[in-house]
Amino acid sequence: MPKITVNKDVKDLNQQQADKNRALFSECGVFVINIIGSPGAGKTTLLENILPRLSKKFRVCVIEGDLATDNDAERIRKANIQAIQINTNGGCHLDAFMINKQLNAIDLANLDLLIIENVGNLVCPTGFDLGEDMRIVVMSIAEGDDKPHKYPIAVLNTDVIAITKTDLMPYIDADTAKMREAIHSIKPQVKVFETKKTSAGYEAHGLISYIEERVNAKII
Amino acid sequence: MHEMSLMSGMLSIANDALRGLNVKRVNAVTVSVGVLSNCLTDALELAFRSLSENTVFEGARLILCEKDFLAKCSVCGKEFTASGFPVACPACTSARLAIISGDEVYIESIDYEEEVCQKSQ
Repeated sequence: MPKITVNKDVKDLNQQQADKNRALFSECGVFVINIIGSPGAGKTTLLENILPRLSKKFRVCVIEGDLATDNDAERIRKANIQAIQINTNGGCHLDAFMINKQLNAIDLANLDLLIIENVGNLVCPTGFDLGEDMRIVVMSIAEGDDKPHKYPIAVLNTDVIAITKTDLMPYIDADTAKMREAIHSIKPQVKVFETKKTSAGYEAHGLISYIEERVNAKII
Repeated sequence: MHEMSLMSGMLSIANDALRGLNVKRVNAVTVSVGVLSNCLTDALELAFRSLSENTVFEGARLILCEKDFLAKCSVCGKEFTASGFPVACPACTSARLAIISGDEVYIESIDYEEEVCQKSQ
């Protein structure tokens, strides 16, 4: 019986497109962030609150990935920032081809920072490179401080983790110190930032400064 | 959750590989699945069964081979097979590591039956 050897990874196709995206972004001097997290982790809220400061320094565009609705893109547009909605119609992650398809609608030559908010899911998106320079995994403290141990591959495949909603700590049985410990037991080099709501507004200074630093290092 | 889209990608790779060959039917498809790929083997089976209907792959056996997580310690350079998380280097206990393999999902090989050619008289 004939047998043919194939030895081809199904993710190769995505990886090839991600490499092309990355080359294009570099050529145009655009820094790209891929934001990944569970539904309700606070990804869009994080964006809404960091974009006003980032857009003062950089020309920013956002791609929103969701199964349905353009609610999230609408939320971003309220801050006068270009937002493109991708509806995956049930697809659980964005891939490099979906991103590439949207690039015609974006003026890359006049852009510094492209932020992609992935579909709410802490499993599938982690295996798909989009061509980003930096990945941010968003985990709210309300999801439990053992979340990193439950989703180790998400931690292993990221550079940065934002622990959101830390103002909820007094009301729940979870601790950011434990969450940090869990993250660093899996990947010591991950940068961890905390964000919270206070009476003065949303606090994410550390994360914003780090993003500014990384964007500047690429575009200048 | 993404097993369906991965399987559809695999079948398109498999179709490309079989193009130009004289295939009557496929008997088996051997697939390597890394433990870091976030793939459920049951879900891959189900995706294979539903996506292979009315194709040369219908009724073929899907042979899934689980591949270990091979890591290389970024501190001392030791290569080792990691089991479970958190991972620590067996030589120096560091958790700083690079993934050598274990996140792959690839088709290794395809066994098929050839169409018997009718020889012209």
